[in-house]
Amino acid sequence: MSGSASGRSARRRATACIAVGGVCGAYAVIGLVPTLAGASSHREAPLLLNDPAVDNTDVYAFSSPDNPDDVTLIANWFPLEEPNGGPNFYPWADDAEYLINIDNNGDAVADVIYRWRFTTDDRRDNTTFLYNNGPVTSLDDENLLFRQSYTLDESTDGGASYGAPIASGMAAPSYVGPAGMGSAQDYVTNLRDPAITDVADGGRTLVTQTEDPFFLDLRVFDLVYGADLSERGQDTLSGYNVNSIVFQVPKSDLAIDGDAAANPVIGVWSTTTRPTLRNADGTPADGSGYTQVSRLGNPLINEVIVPAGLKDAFNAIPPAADATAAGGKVVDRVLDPEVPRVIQGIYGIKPPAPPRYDLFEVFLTGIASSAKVDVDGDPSTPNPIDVDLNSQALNAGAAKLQPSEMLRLNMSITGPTGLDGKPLKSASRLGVLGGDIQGFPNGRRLADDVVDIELLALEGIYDVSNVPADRQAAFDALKDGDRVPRNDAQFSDTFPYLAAPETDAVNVPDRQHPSGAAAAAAGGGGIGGTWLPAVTGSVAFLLIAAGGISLLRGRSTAAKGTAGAKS
Amino acid sequence: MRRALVVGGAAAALVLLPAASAGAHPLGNFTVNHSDAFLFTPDGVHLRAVVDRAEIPTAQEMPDIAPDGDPGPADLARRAAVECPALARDVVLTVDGDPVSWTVGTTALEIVPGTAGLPTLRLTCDLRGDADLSGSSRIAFRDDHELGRIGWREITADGDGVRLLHSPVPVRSPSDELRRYPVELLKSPMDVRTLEVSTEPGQNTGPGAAPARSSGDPFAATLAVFDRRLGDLIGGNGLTPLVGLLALGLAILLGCGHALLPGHGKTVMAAYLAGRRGRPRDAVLVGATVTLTHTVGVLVLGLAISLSSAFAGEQVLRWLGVTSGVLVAVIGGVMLRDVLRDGRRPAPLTPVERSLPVLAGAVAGTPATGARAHVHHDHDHGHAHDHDHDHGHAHDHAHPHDHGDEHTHPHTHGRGGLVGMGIAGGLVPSPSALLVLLASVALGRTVFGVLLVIAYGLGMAATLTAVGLALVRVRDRLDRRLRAGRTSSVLRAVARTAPLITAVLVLVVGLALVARGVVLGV
Amino acid sequence: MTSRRTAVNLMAGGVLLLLLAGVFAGWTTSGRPSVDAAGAAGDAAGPGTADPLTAGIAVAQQRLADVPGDWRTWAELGASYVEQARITGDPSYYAKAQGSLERSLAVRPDDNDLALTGLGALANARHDFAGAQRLATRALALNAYSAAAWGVMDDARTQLGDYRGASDAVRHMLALKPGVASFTRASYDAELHGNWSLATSALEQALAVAGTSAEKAYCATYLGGLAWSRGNLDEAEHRFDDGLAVAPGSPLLVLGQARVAAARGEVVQATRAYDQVVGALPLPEHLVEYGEFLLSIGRADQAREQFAVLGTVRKLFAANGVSDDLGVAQFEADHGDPAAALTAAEAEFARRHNIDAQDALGWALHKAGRDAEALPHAAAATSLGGASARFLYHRGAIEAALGRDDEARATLAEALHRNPYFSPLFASEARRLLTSLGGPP
Repeated sequence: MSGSASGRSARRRATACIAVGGVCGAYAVIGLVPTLAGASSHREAPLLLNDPAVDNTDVYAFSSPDNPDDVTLIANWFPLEEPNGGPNFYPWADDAEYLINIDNNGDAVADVIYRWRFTTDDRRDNTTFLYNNGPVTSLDDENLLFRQSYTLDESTDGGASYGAPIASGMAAPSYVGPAGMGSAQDYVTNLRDPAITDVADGGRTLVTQTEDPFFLDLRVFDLVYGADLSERGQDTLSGYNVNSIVFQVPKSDLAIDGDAAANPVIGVWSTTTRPTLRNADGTPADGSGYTQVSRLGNPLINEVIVPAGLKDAFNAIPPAADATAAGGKVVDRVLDPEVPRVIQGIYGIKPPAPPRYDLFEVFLTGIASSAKVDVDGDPSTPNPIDVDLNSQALNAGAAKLQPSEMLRLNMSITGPTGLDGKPLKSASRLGVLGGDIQGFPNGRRLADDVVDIELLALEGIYDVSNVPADRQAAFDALKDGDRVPRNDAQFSDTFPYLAAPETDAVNVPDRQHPSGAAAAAAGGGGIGGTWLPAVTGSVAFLLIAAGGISLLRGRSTAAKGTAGAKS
Repeated sequence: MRRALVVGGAAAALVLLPAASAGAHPLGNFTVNHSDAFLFTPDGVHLRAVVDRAEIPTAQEMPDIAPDGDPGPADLARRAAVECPALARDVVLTVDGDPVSWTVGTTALEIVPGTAGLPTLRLTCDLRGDADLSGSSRIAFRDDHELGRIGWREITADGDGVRLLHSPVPVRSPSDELRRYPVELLKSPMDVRTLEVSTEPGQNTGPGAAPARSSGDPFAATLAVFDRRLGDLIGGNGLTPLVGLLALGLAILLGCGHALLPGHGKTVMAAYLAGRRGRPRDAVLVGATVTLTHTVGVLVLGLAISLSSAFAGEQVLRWLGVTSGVLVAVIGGVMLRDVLRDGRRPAPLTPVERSLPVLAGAVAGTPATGARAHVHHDHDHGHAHDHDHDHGHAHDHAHPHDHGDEHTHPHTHGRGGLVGMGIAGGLVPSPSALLVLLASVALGRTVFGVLLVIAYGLGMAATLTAVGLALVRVRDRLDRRLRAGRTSSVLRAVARTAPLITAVLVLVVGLALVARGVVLGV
Repeated sequence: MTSRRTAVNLMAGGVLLLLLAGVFAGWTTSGRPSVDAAGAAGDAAGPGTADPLTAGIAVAQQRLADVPGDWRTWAELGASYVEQARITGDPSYYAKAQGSLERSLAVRPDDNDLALTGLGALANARHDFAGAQRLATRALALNAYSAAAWGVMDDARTQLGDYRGASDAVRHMLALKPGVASFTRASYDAELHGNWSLATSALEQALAVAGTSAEKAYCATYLGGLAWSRGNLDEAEHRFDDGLAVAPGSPLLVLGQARVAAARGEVVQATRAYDQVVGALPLPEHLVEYGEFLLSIGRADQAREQFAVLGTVRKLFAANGVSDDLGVAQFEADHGDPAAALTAAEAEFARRHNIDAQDALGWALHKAGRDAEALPHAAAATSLGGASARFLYHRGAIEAALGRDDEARATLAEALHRNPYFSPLFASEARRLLTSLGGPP
């Protein structure tokens, strides 16, 4: 019996080994799978209008974590910059105006406008298209052939006139490659940090390329194209760069009458303008000479709220026109959005009934109690989100609130704060919905997962720790959101808070098989790096097999009950 | 933009509008379309160039062909004889950097009626160039003919005795050599004017390539058809779960089929089972070992090949065959030595046999030849006679259970030998399994490819185990008959000499495999 | 048992190796693939060498293979195909454009202004200007802020002869999206109205913001055309050469060079250039222009060959159900049957009253001997302010035939002053006629 007992334990041991080995073996096989990022990292955005240099991608606004008296505004342009983007790279348009607008009294008209304008110094002659002809170790390195500098000025009369420049500096150039600019850290040390420029009367600004801080799986929005939410979890923007303007300014500069304590709420949006037709003598043929071609406040407004037919309008009009332009369709869309109905069609989850005054609060007025802003116009009913958080109506010097789309920040909240007003140990990526009122939709921090927040908001869920019974089904279906909870790169706690630019190429072009490029990238990327696990896995398999066979041998011996068999 | 509109608009107007008559040139009436179809052979390159001129370019050419506007066969032939050499001057092919000079073979120029009964011209030129493609080479090609003309331009390439590595162009023409132009919304118009590809000797196995030309018998041909079907399934766009399951089933089937083809150690396994006492467990063991070894071998080899296109797969297969032969010969030698040394008693364990299980790294196995097939048939006859004799022996040794170490020796001896035999049988990857893996990898569906290879192995395992079990069953029955004493003395005599014959046969087979691998390089 | 120990040792070794393999696998899958070719080739040449339109088309094709319900991308792909057809001249793009745009509408029939705009652009490309205007109207009803729809509307209205409506559309387009597309349309609008300086400066402004070589070539083509139409041969040549530097072999630029060479009397260069043009783009107007050039240098046989090809083209048009009455009217009036010219011109005029149709009808009437009826049409054709030299020559000839010599002399002098080289064949005719009337006033 001892033989069989020991045989049994040996067998159990061996079986366990085989099981573990099998799992690890499977893992080794998985090593043969091409890396997910490589498998589908084509440029997947639909064809954009051919002006990416002025195309707003994101706006962030948050109280500076390293200085409670300052607020940081970040605006990004030029989506989906391939890190290996030569020969044209991603210069700023030097005839465009890049603007960050602030409305501090709620009338939907910009009270303070900051404007960056660029000048190109192109030292390349016809012999080269390269941006550098050698290693570039500083902003004024003679090897840097294509440079851009900017001036920053400010308007306090709604853009009619601008004062003298309050800052001027060099833009950190597009990353050209390791031979030219070294590693990402080299870029940060040699080019980005020296490009940080002080602003007159306090503040700093930086113009740079950075890895795209937005993290989301864009496939989630294929909902409206008949897809379901089965494909999620891959950060579509991972690996790409954007052009970024970072601006840190004292809160008092933005608040009504310089009093950020009494007037803590500001509305922020970013726009870009292009020059209009000029006469032969250079004077504008029509109007002011510049026309707005792009606008962005809250993230994903074009994906979740504004349908295709209104996107052009939204890009062209100022916030003051939101309520009236295109027959008031912008407001209509907010009150009755399409995405929840699509979700209903796919998942059978009934959306909250329109009119969606909760979304009206979030996107168009800021969250406030009905005493300050009565969103539904009915004084007897409270607002759907009846708290005073981030509407300009809360400001002491507020004007009559004009509903308009913009990102609204309450500058008085300087750190992660709970719904009860007490500080939290750590920020919640779900912002206000996750119980952290410092986060989106109260301004937007870099790490706020705005896709998840907006999806939940669209389904009427505003507090994930306290989901109403009738929204539970929706919450269960959507609580994972797009399954991309954080950015691929780490943000920083110090100015400029952004990560370094990506340096590895995302796409492999395959001229003769444009649609096979994905496969090529997949195959190449996956196989190239997995021979090691494959070989070791195979050897491991063989050894396990041999051991198993020997074990079988041993087991049959034990089964024959040999007295002489020893364990 | 009046000018732009007139230009663009008239250009548009020259295109067949959807409601217009059938028979119009589908790509537009002023295109000149090219097809370059290559066939690479070890001693040269064949190029079949077709130029299809739509109605307007034809009208522009006509005055030169036949001033009276009505070209006869002589005019066309004369024109073809002029245009093909001109085309040959415009197409540039280099092999490892050396340009190939073309000889113009047959030329033909024919009139094909187009829209409104207007003529279109179709020029066909067969060009041939000498080149040495018997080793690894790099081909570069550029078609500069009529560069200024808009039109469909395609290149296809195939090899006969030459394999194209990662060919960027298809084997078959997507337009049936400019006769039917596919309209695909998600593909831009075909405009391929250059080709760069590496070649090596072998069989071209790109998708759509002709199957290996060597298989003669209908069974192997059927398997080849299934091979291609699987290849198409792998490469297809619609890889739904259903299609995936179908492909897996097909892979299992193919594994079964290929296991039945000569070449996976069945012969040797059968011989071994005959020469030793075989039990159902042994059959399962051998089947499993063959499969495991085969699967791992395919994965490793497939990875090696897809990593390095310079990896000479044919060479590896050859040496695998040789090693397999060596292993089989060794086992046969051991069996022979046992038989000779101990008469009919099996020898004590030798270090060689003890270490057989650890010979996991040994690679073996070859595709069979006709000679082997013959051996296989002979063995079948031998089996019936071997069984009764060996069964007696097996009884002698199997029954006394309590002989400690002594007992493990026959077990070990048998097991080790079986495992070794299984390894020998399974480690030369079947080309079709290799192809499946490589095709899947090339399309980025590596996991699917691995699953297919495993399914393939399962199919093989099933067949081999079934064969082994059948042999065991036959042998058991014969043994019973023998013990019942109803057989003739001839049978008994043969049964007595069977181990010797078996051992000799195994040894001979092993040596033959070695010789084949070394001498013939196949 | 030693063998069991061996077995266990073997298995342990195997498991360890597998764990190692798993570690390797995890390690290599966590990073993104670093691409070999692009990295090895150095920092400079990346995958960005394909122009944005071609790259965008490839991306859209891949996207639609993955998400076939993406009606937005279908519409944008269709519009890109139309654009690609314009740039490359490859007509197989039109069928693809039509298919893609119809697919977009099939997926999303309502609120799909993108597909309607794309179909409008396609209609313009196929000379269905009335259809294009209808589609643009529908698109603008859904999305009044669509610069592309205003562009389609501008093109359609210009061709239909609604010049005021066209100017209005251009203004909307400029307000929404200043850029190459709107500046070039603004330039044409200015040119039609005779505002040469604005026409030039608008194209130069477009050239300054042009990003792709196709856009730069386009600007160069029409800057050269402007210069040539004012008789500035040197500047025209300079512009065409600039354009060919970025878009070698582009037929329209080569055509410009052909015209400059013909104007300078460089017969060999002009012949070679015209040959190249009709080889790459054998459109009726190019065939006719080449034929007229050949006639002007006395090669009547070769001219006849070109006109014979033109006959083939006409047969194809007829078979394809496409009408080109304007072209027929212009050709037959000068080189063929005046009666046929008149029929065609009247048919065209029934469709639209733009300056081309007006001029064609006037000239056909003149060739048919009905000069009194011809004059109002010729006058209408030259009323906008930016009349071409050829139209002025037609009007002058009609005035002369009516005996209004003073007006004729003024008109003909204006024509030759504007562009002394407006046609290798007819500029000399105009000069002869002017001299016979007594020269410029």
